[in-house]
Amino acid sequence: MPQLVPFYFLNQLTYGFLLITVLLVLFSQFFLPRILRLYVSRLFISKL
Amino acid sequence: MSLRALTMKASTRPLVMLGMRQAPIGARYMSTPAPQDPKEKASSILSALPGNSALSKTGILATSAAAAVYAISNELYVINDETILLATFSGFVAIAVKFLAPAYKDYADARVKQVSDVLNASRTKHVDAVKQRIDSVSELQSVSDTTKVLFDVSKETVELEAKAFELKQKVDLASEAKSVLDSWVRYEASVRQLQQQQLAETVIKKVTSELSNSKFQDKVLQQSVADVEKLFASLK
Amino acid sequence: MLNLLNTYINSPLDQFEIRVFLGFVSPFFDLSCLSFTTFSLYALIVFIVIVGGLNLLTTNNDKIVGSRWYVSQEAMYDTILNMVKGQIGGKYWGYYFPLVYTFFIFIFTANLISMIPYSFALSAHLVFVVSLSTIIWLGATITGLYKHGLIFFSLFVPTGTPLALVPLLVLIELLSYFARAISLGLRLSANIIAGHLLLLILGGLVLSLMSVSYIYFIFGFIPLAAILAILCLEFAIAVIQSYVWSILTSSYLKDALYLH
Repeated sequence: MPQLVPFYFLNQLTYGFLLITVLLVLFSQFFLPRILRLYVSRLFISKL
Repeated sequence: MSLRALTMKASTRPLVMLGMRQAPIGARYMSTPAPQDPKEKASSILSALPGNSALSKTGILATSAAAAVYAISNELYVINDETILLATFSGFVAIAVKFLAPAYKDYADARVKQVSDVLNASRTKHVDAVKQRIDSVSELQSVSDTTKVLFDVSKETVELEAKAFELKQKVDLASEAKSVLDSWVRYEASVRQLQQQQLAETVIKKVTSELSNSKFQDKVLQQSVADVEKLFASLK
Repeated sequence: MLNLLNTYINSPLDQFEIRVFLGFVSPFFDLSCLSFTTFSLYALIVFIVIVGGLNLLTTNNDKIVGSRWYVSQEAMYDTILNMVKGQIGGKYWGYYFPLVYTFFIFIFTANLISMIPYSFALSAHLVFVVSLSTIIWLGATITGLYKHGLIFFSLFVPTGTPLALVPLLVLIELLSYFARAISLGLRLSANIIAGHLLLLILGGLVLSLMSVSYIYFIFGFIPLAAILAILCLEFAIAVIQSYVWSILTSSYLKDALYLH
């Protein structure tokens, strides 16, 4: 499959792992804690 | 028979055959849907086009057709394998919008409603609990006035008690004095009684000693005879 | 006049071709790995869709109730949470949950974006996906070796095997353990490549059927319905493959952390 064996290996790897790392940091620092905070606040309010 | 009934005008059609059914089909299946305005049904395709008025609809249709023809004939857009995929993908999107979107909307609405219901219920419960607490605390509203009144009452009580104590002391003193005087009186009375008794005893002793004396006995006898003679002389 | 003469044969593999939009050229270092290609363009699109479209714009002004869009995010969060808690469990599942969630969301979004016509399939590139799976496998192995030392190799002896079979079984287990590195990535890539190739080839066939005459055009709508069915299947595969990747990653992590 010529299109899947190009000279763009390093480009693919660079941008791919960059994307995965940035997503990982963003999710674990901001978005997943926000969802968790939402659930905890709902629980707190409903179990006052 | 039924065909003849149908060939007649509706006003003269015998109504008997219309009531009978050959097969036991469910009544709801035979029921007609809500009468759709035939004009609306006929123009459903036209109303599905984008645009608001007839002019804009024709304008949009004409523009898109012209753009498609221009693009294809000038090879801006080449019809290749992916065109088929474009057609199938738009078909898939149409199906999704028609069937999946309302289902997802209902599910999401139900979930949002459930969450907001739980939160609202807990909020009203909390409000009620706070109101109850406010009520129970407001029963002690007049606490300061009550304490003031109680304080005045206790002050009065203390004063009255002091007065009562004073009076009681006076009464005690008086009664003690009375009892002391009474005892003295009793003592005096007993002393006098004793003296009288002694006096009487001495007198009686003297009298009895005198009586035992013979001279006195003769004297008494003579006096008593003179008394009896006097009495006889008065009676006669 | 329409150019009906195709002097080049268009292969259905052309959809995976990578072109450079903005190249990085430097006389000192080889910075071509940073050039802006179709791969990086679609990585950027995936990033914008995930971060902007799904997480920042759907929060309904930070209300606790959330919006209808945010319900989907919450549903994905719940699914992956329960899956990771069920698979890994124990003391350490919380440490690996963001990683598994990131993989799931990335592959889910990348696959769904590749379904749009004239788009590009990010997960169809074997090199990227297989290297990702190899790194996951290597990371799991190193974690296991670091936590358990040499006892880690007890992973290859399943419980309850008679002593005579142990050498043979260890060899087989070792082989299957090494195969995990490439099988995880190859599964995803092969599914996506096969699906896209199939759709494109069928599309080409139906196009050549429909372009013969008007009657064939009318009758060509039946295979078109078949392609619609296969497209629905491809959507399902796109979603399921991301879930399969996540669940296998958590399974491999569980093997490394707790040694069955």
